[in-house]
Amino acid sequence: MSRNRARTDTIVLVSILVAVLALYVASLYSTQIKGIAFNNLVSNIRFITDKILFPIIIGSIASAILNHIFPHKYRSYILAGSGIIPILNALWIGIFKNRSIYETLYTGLAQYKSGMTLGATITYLIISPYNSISLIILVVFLFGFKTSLIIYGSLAFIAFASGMFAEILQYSKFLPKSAMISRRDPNFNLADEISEDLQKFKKCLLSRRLLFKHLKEIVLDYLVVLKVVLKWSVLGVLMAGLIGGALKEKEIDFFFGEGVFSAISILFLAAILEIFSEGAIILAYMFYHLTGALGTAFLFLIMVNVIDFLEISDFRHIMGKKISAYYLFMPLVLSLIFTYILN
Amino acid sequence: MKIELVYANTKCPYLGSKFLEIQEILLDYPDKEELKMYDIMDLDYETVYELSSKYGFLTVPMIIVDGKVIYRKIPSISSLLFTLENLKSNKCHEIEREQILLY
Repeated sequence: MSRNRARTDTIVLVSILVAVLALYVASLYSTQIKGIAFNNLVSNIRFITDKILFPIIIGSIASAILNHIFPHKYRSYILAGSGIIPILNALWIGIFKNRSIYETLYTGLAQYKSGMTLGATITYLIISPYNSISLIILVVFLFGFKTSLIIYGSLAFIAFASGMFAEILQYSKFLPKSAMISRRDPNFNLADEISEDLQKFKKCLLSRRLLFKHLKEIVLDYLVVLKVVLKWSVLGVLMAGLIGGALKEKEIDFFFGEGVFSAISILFLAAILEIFSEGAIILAYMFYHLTGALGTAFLFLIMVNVIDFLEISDFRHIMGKKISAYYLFMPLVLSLIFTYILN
Repeated sequence: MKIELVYANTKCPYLGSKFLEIQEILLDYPDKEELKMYDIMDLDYETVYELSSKYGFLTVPMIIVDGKVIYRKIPSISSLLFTLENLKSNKCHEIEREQILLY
């Protein structure tokens, strides 16, 4: 059974509010903290809010439009089959929809159960929490274009390598075989389908009633995406503000900098935090902004979702113990190598 | 009208409540002759094979009416009812135009 996420959300929110309150009370009584910690907290929150507001609004609009116009029926063709092609396709298919961690997990598991290869499933699960258009825009605005390219390049490499290696291990019988592998429908022609759909789309644009209806759907989609993004962003901003406000520069470097202990503390934080993609990006940016350690921020980014998936018991129920262990081990080893290189 | 719904039994507040909403709408829909609901986590491979050989990859949610997949995403209630009504009155042209951006 899955854990009650609503309860988890409340616990996270309450603990952050308690921590902020404690910091405020401490700043009233302690001469050392007074005037520094709370001011830092407020200025950090302001700094990060200024940075994320615009990309969140733009990103959510882009995500709602893409989600609405992308026919999800193509997934069966794009992700079916075996070998390297479905793994490569799994790298980009997530761009069309901002999925919550649950949606990503259940879509991935459903597709795995109905024949997507293990490699494509693992690739999909690793990269999809971060490659929706709204999150790409957020990362680019926060980290800058070049650093974002490095982040997404590394993420894509880890997702791809983990997927490919899983296929090899499955072939060598180290990992259990999938119950079924779906084949591509030979009668399905993607180009023909797209051109036919474009024709229908043009006709649809001519009808005012339908156009208005679809615009309404896009606005509703936008509000849903915005609600999810804002909720996790607020948590991210508060946590980032807290870390920046409560810890001194030396402590920040020690816990979230470039050293080995930083990697351990980041992994610990990734294991205990319930923050999901938007919040994780904001927190990772705060680590990067405060310490300049891109590798450590990247480690947090990738492991926070990997561990979160593993905590949901349905993952182990469908994938089994061996694949679950591999799913933790492989991205962890690869991200530690990338952490070292990027730092 | 034969309706099938593929979903996941999840306690995620957003996803869970949406699935529940769709389930309720379909359960109360007066013109259904048969309603089958499949929880992806509990499905045996025989049923998975049968469903995915007919409809391609299973996604959550997936709403199938009379053997035709009409949604692979969570639809708004108004959109779902509109499509069901048009399917009932056999207005395929309307549905096709409606579905192109939603399916």
